[in-house]
Amino acid sequence: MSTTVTSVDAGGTGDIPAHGPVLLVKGLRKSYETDRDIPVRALRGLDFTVSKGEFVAVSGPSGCGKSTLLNVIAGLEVPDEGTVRIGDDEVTGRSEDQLAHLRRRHIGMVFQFYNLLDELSVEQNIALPAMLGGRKRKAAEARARDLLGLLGLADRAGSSPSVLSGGQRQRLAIARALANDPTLLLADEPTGALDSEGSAEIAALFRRLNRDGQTIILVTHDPNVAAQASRVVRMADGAILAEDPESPGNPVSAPSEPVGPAE
Amino acid sequence: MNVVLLLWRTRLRSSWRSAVILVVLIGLGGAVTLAVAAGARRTASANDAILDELNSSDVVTAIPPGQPDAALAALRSLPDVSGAELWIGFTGQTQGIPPAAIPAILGFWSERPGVDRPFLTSGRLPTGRREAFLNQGAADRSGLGVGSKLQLALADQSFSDFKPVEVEIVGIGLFPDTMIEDELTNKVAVWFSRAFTEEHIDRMVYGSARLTLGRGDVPALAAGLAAMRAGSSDNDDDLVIGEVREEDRQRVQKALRPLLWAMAGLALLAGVTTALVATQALGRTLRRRRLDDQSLAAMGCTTRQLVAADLAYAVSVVGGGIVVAVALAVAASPLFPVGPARRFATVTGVHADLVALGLGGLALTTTIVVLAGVASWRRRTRPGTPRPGGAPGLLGSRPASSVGLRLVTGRRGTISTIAGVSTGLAAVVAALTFTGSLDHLVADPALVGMGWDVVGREGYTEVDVAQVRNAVQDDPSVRRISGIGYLDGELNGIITPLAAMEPVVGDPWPPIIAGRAPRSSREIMVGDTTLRALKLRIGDEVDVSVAANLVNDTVPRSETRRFTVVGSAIVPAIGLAGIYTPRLDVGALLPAQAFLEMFGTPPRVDVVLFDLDRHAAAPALIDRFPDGLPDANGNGTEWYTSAVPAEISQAEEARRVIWLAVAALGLAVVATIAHTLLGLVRQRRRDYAVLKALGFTRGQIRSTVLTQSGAILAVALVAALPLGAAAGRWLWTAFAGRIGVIVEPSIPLLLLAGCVLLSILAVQGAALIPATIARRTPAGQALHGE
Repeated sequence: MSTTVTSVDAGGTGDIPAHGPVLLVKGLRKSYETDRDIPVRALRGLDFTVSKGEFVAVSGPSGCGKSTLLNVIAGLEVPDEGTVRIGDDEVTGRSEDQLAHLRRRHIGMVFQFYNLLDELSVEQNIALPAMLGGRKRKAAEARARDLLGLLGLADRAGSSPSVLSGGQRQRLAIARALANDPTLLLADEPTGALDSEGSAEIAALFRRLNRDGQTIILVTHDPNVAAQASRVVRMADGAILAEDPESPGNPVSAPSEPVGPAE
Repeated sequence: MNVVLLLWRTRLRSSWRSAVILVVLIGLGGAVTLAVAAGARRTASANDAILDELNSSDVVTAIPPGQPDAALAALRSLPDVSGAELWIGFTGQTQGIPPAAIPAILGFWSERPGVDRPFLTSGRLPTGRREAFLNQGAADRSGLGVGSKLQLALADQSFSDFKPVEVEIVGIGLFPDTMIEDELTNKVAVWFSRAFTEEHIDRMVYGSARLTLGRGDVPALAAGLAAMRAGSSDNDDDLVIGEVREEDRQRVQKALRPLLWAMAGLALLAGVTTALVATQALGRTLRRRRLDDQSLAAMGCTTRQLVAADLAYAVSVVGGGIVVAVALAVAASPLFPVGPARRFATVTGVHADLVALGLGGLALTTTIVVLAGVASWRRRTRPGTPRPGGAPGLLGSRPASSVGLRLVTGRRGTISTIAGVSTGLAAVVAALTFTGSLDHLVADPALVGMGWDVVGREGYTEVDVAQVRNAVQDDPSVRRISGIGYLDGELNGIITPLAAMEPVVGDPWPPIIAGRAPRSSREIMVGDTTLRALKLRIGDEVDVSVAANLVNDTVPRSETRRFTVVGSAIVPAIGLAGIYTPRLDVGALLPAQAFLEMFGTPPRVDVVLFDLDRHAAAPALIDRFPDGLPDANGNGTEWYTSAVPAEISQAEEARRVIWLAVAALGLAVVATIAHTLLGLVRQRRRDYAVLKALGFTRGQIRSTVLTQSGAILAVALVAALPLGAAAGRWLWTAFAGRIGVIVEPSIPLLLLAGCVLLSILAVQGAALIPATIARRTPAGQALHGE
C-alpha cells in the first residue's frame, strides 16, 4: 500500500462511490493479551461491508467484539490480520500519523460516555476537529455554530460540556463527529448512558442524519435503537452471526474457531 | 475510629507502590533539607566547639619581660583566673615563608599548655632546644612539613642585632585565631619549646598571658591584675586586657555568615520544594481513589471519615519518608561542617543534631500533612466543575497548543504546581542575583574599602612618608598616597580599632558609605558596626582617647578629646598581622592632624596605600622601592596588589553552596514539572485518546503536552523573575550592609537569560517523557467506559 497521507486528504469523499460499499472489512482478526497471558480473541476472521448511505446497527452481547470492530475501522486499534478499506483508502498498514489524517477525513466517532473535552466550550469541542480537518479558525467556528443550530444547542455554545444534560452532551458529541462531514459516523452505544426519552431522541437524530445521506454504523444493545437502522448485524464471540432478514444481502461470517479464550 | 483504621489499611494496601514512591521522594527531599539545616547549625557552632576543645583563652594581657615563672604563678593565684599560660614573644624574621616581614615568634612557657592548646594536624609539640611548631597556614604557603628545617633570625630588644637560628619543625597545627585568614591577616607563627625559650630568654621582647576566667568577669580580673602590677617594680605600662575569645569568636562568626546564610537558604528552599512536590504527589495518589471513595460514601462513610483516612495515609507515608530523611541526613553529617572549621578534626564525623533533625522533620511532616488534609477536605466539600472553555474565539489557530493550554489551565492543582515551580525558580533567580552581586563586589575592590591599587605594609618600624613622597613625586601615574598609623584607642570608653589617616599625597580617605570625610582635626569617621555598637549617628559627638601607637604601648594615653562623627566609611581590612585586625565595618578613622595636635608629633605610619592611574602597572611602582618602603632600620615590606578580605573570601566559599542550591532547585523544578505532567497524562488518558480519535497526530499530542509544560514554566518564570530578583537584591543588601561594604546589588542579566534558556530546554526535555506516554496512549482501550 503506497497511499500517502496527502492522497487521503486530497482524495476525500470524492473517492467514495455514489453507490456500492464505502466500507469493506475482510478477514479481520484481533486478539488481546490478558493479565494471565491468555489471549482473548475479540474478532475472529470477520467480513463486513457497508454501502454509502446505509444505517447499520451492530448488536450482540457484551464482549462480543462490537467496540473492537469500531476501533479497528477507525484505525484506533490495529488488527492482527485482515484489511479495512474506506472508499479507496486502506486503513490497515498505515502509520499512526497517516491514520490520524484518515480519521479527520473519513471518521466521526460517538461514544457511550460522550468523551467530550470539558476544558473546551461546547462550540470549541466542535471547532477543534473542524480545524484539524483543514478549516481555518473562523470557518471552523462557523461550522460549529451551524451544527449546534442543527442539533438545537446554539444557546449553549459558550458553556462547558459538563453543565449539559446527558442528551445534550450526546447531541454535542454527534455534532463534533459531524464536524468534517465524515464518510462514516461510528457510534459506540450512544444511548447506553441515557434514559429512554434521551435514547429515543438520539435514535431519532441518527435516523434523521441517515435520511440526509450520512452513512452510520451504530453499536447498541437497545432493540429500539437498532430498529431505527436499515440493517442490523448480530455479533457473538468476535464474529457476525446473522443479519436482519430485511436488510440487503450481506455474507454472514460464521466463527471459524471455537468460542472462548484461546488456550 | 475503627472505620478510619480500616480505610487507612485499605489505602496502604491498595496504594503501596505509590506509598513507597512517596516515602522515597520525601526521604530524598527531606534528607537534603535536614542534612543542610543540621550542617548549617554544625558549621555555626563549630567555632565554639573548637574554642571549648582547645580551652581557648578568654582574655589576653601583656606581661613585662623578665621572670616569667613569677608572673605565671601570680596570674594563677588570682581568684578570677581558672587557667593561665604564658607565651614568650620574640621578634625576628623567618626565611622562605611569605609574608616575611612580620612573623610571630613565640615560645611556650609550659611543656604542655593547658590554655590555648594548639590543634595538631601533624607531628607533636616541641620539647627539644632546636624544635619548633609551625602554624598550618604558613606550612601550606611555604611547603614546609614535619622534619623540615626552618632558618630564622632572632632580634634583640633593640632590633639591632639578629641571631641566626636553625630549628626542626616537629609539629604543625592550628589555633582558633588562625581559622579565618585572609591575605592581609595571615601570618607566620612559630612556637618554640620551653627549652629553647629559656635559652633565649634574654631576647624576650614581650610576654603574653593567656587567661581563662573562673567565676569572675573581666572587670574583676582587671582589678586583680592592676593590684598585682601595683606590687611590681615594673609597672609603667598601661594595663590592656584583650577579650580575645569573644573577639575571635565574633570575627569567625562574621566571616562564616554568608556561608551560613547560603546553607540556611538552601535548607529552607529544599524544604519548601519538598513540601510542595510531596503534597502534589500525595494529592494525586489520594485523588486516584475517587471512585472507591464514591462507593464508600454510598455505603455510609462520612466525609470526616474519608478525610481522616486520607490524613492517616498521609501521616504514614510522610512519617516513613521523614524517618528515611533523618537516617540519610545523619549518614551525610560527616560532610559538615563546611568552611574553615573543617580543618579541626575534633568537630567532624558522624553527628545527629536532634534539634535540627527533630524540628525540621516535624515542620516538614506538619506542612505536608496539613496541606494534604486541606486539599482532601476541599476536594470532598467543594467539588468543583471544570471551568468552561471561555469565549469560543480563544481557541487559537494551532489546535495542539490551544488544547494543551486548556488542559493545563482547566486542571485543579495547576496553581500549586506553578506555585512550587515559581518558588524554586525565584530561589534560583535570587541565588543568581546574590552571586552576581558578589561577583560585582569582588571585581571592584573599592566596594570593600580598597580604593587603592597597592598596599605596602611594614612590620615593626615606622615608614618615612616624606621619603615615600619624594620617591614617587616624578611619577604621574600615582594619583594619591595614604598612610595609615594604627592606634590603640577608645571611643566613649570602648576599645576600638583606630587608625590615623595621613594624606601623603591627596585625599587619604577610603570609600564612604554615608556622610562625608573629616575636614577638620575634630571630625572622625566610624565603621558601620562600631557606629551601631556605640549607639551613635552621624552628627553625634564622641569622646576619643588614643595611645601614641600600637606596637609600643609605653607612651601614655592622650587626654580624652571630643570629635564629631561626620561619616561612616569602610575601614580597610588591613592591619598588623596577628596584632591588629580592623574589619570593614569595625573601627574608626581620624585625620593625622588630630594625632599631631594631641601628641605634638605625627602618627607613626605602618601601612602605605598607593592609588594609581588606571593604566599604571603596580609592579612598576613596587620596583621603585627595591629595599622596601623607607624606614629607619631598612626592614622588609610586604606588598599586596590584591587583597580579598576574609568576609569576601568566605562569601566565595558560599558560592559553592549557592551553586549546589541552584542545581538542586533546578532539578527540583524540572522534576516537579515532569512529575506533574506524568500525573496529568495518566489522569487525562481518556482526553488524549479522544484527541487521537479526533485526528491528532503523534506530533500534535506531543505538542499538547509540551505546551502544558511550557505554559507552567512561562507563568512560573513571569512570577519568579521579578520576585527572585527582588529577593536576591534584598538578601544582598542585608548581607552587604552587615559586613560593612558598599551595597551595590547587581542583577546578572546574561546569566539569568542563560538560566531561563536552560530551564526551558531542561523542562521541555523532561516533558518529552510524559509526552511520549501520552502519545502511546492506547486510544481504543481508553475510550471504552467512563
